[in-house]
Amino acid sequence: MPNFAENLPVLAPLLALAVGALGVLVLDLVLPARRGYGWWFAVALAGVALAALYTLPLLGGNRTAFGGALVADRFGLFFWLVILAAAGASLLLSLSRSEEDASGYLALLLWAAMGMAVLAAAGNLMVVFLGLEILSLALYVLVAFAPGNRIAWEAALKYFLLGAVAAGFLLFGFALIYGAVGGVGFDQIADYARGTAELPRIYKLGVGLSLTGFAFKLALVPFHVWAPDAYEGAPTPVTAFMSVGTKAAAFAAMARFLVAAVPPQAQTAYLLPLGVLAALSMLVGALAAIRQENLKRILAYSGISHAGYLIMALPGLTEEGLGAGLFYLAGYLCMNMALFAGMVYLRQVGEDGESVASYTGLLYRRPALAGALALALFALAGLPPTVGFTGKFLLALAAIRGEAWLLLGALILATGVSAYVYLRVVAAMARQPEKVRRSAAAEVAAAAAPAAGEGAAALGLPDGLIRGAAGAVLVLAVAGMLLLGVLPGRVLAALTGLLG
Amino acid sequence: MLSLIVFFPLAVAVAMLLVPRTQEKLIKGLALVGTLVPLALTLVLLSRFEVGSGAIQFQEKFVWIPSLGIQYHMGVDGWGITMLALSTLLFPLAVLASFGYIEHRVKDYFVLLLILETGTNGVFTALDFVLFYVFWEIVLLPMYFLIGIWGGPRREYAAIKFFLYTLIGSVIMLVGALALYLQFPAGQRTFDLIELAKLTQGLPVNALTTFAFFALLLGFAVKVPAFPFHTWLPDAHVEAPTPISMLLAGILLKMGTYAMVRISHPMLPQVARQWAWLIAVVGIIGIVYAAFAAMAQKDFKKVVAYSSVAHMGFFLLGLAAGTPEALAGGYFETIAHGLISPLFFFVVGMYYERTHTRELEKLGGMFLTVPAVSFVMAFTAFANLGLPGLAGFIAEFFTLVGSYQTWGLWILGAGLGMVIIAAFHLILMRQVLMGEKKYESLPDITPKEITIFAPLAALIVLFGVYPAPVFKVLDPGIKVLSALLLGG
Repeated sequence: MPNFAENLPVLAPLLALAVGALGVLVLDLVLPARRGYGWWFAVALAGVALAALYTLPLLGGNRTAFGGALVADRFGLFFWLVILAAAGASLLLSLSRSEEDASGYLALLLWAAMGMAVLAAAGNLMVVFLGLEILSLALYVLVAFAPGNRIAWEAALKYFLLGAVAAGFLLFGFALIYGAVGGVGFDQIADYARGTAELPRIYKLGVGLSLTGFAFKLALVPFHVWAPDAYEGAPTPVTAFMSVGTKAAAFAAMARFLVAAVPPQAQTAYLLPLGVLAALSMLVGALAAIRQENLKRILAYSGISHAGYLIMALPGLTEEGLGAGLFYLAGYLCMNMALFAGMVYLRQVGEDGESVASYTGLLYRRPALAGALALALFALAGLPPTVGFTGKFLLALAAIRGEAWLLLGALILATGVSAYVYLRVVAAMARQPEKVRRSAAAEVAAAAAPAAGEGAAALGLPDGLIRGAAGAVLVLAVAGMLLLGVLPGRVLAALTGLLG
Repeated sequence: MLSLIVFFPLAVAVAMLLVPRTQEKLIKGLALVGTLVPLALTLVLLSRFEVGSGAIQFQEKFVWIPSLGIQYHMGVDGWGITMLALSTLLFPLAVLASFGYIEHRVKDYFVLLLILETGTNGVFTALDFVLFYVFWEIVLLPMYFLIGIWGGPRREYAAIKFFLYTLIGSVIMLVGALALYLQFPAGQRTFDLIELAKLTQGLPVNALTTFAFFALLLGFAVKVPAFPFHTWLPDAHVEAPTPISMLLAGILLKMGTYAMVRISHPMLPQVARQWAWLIAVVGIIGIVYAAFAAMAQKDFKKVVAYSSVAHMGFFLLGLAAGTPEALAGGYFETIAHGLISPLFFFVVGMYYERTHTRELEKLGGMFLTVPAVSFVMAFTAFANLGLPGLAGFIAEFFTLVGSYQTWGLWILGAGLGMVIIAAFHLILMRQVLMGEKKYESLPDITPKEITIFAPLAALIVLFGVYPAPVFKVLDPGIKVLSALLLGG
């Protein structure tokens, strides 16, 4: 029997998230919504902060808990930090919610974060599945969390149905692997894959099916169809959270799985199908984004491309490569959070912030905000001096090291096409607003203003606080983007010796 | 010192952000300071530059990303300092040309212009590939906005085209460089251009080195621009405001040519030798094709833009030939073109501000209307077509003499191009200067315009009559590169 107290340090961050979620729900019961509203957010944020505090001391060494079921090595812990940062940022962006159901929303968000953390630190197949289900179930509901919004319901239903099928694939794959290996621990699988001369067909089939399940969570083509709808339908902070968090957690788990399950001598053969999917993702994501008129959908397709870029970290399954993937995700967190924070901010000041057309002339109305958003878009396109460049640079290095020329070719094409996509938004911002359009925007603002005012009277937080929080997320994200872009030395040095 | 030259404009740009939008006088003053100080510093460096030494001078080296062998390494030799001088000279002139020409969003404009200078100066001084690449890409951002916001009617199209061409080229170049970097065992890996070149020169000619060479070359060729990657240039020039055209032609194109003599050719001379014929063919086609294309244009600015493509063809021809004379001539072409073509674009701008048209049909009889401006135009056109006594002639003469040693009579193709170049310049002058007066009275040249014309014209004449100082500065670098390209 594992000693609970021994395992507590590793478990503490997860518990902090779970308890934070329960705390919000209890508060909702104890205090009337009108008085407790601000406290819900405070408790949720405290839960995330506490989890981060518990994570930091773990960074010193590589620990495992529950007989290897949870692996708190540096790889997993860095992912925890990325996930927690994403959760914290999206909580701050969620301050703009003014419905009474916010307590459930916050609790689900924390549980989703917990699921992601479990997934990123999973040491065996069962824990992978457990983490995946915790995060998925929470997200299915969160996507639908826009009262009266049919698009959100539809998106959630699509996400759920496809997600359930993918979970089936994953579970079936795991079962087959178990059948071949006789165990579910990653170390057992690794021993088996390296020690067996001729791997049986059910093992290979199992690995293939499992990869399909992971590909779904990463939104790799052709398992990507849910992403644009879910991104568009979900509340903006949720979109922000799932775009980074899900990707990070799924990538971490998949990387661990591959490191264990792929026999070194047959690496090329095992990774080739994944490479094809990744190349397709880059191209499809870039091409499909061209015609989109909604920034959230553009970011969804860009997320599909970026999932493809991430796979460039895998060829060779080296530590440097995985480090590059991790670094890229940290950068991706900054870029995406900056953009979503901008969206929330714009919504708060009465602008649309979703359709590309509504960005027309933003550079003239709000130069600082437009500048920050443009920088984030350039970062997504991979330009220095932002982390978008540094990250892609590392990924390209990993891919060349693994001789994944297919991925590199796709990277070159996709970079060009997606740069066009991002530039469309930037160009809209820089376009001189026409007189007519300005008045139309003013009308929208005027129409939105009373609605926002009403909400604030009933429930919700002070306007200044919400804007301040969104602004803070934006500033932090931009700072992170530049810092990781210009001075990545320290972080990269910390990324060596990842897998304990 | 070099870092100061590179980052001073950026610092001024940041300071400028704090100045209120309405203080236009202060902003313009800051812009002048931000570009004049680097020029002054560069002149100081030039005076301290040790001519005749092939070594890298004024080096600055700091650790940047140690785990990947990336350094902050700055330094210049003959190749670099000439381009740095050109860049720091043209920026104040462009700022001056913007006064009175750029009227809206003055602050944003100058902030971007200053960031642009940091990018270009950085490209010419960086000696680490990653640092070089960062500067190379930083140039894109301000340029995109400068064309896209202050440009002509089709500015967005032109800006995006410029951006995408260069970006795709650069990504390919990056992959090529990374592939070279990974050729060596972990301990030796470096992105230092000088160190890396020493290593890569020993690699065999195989599929990988050939790929890397062409990947690098492609990235640079887009910027030069070499035929057939030149199509973004006429669009960008036509839409860009005059000062930006001056910088685009004067400096941005030179990033590509500089990068070839700094990176692709010194790193893989063994591959360059094998494919020299291809580069020569591209160069000659560029000269002839662009010359014909220029002749067919109806827009004044497009004529000048295509003439740029033609002149860059001479550089490629010289580079492909690889003899010291050809290399000297080719590189001198980039310097001469860096002085002449900004002036030419400025001339177009002078006419445009007076007549509000660039269509050649609507211009005419300008000698009678604005004699002084037209004198400038005639001077520039003659310089551009390579009249002896002016800088362009020296460049083309040396290129052809040097190329003959390698390519023999094939250079007649380039000679044919020179004839067409001369022809379209004469046609251009006939259309613009001669004929009946189409405008009754237009203001003639202003003191501001003379201030821009005078230094460029003086240098064009000086280098046309006495090019020796430039050649002396370039000589050590040329000898080394030529030995690499011819030897073996």
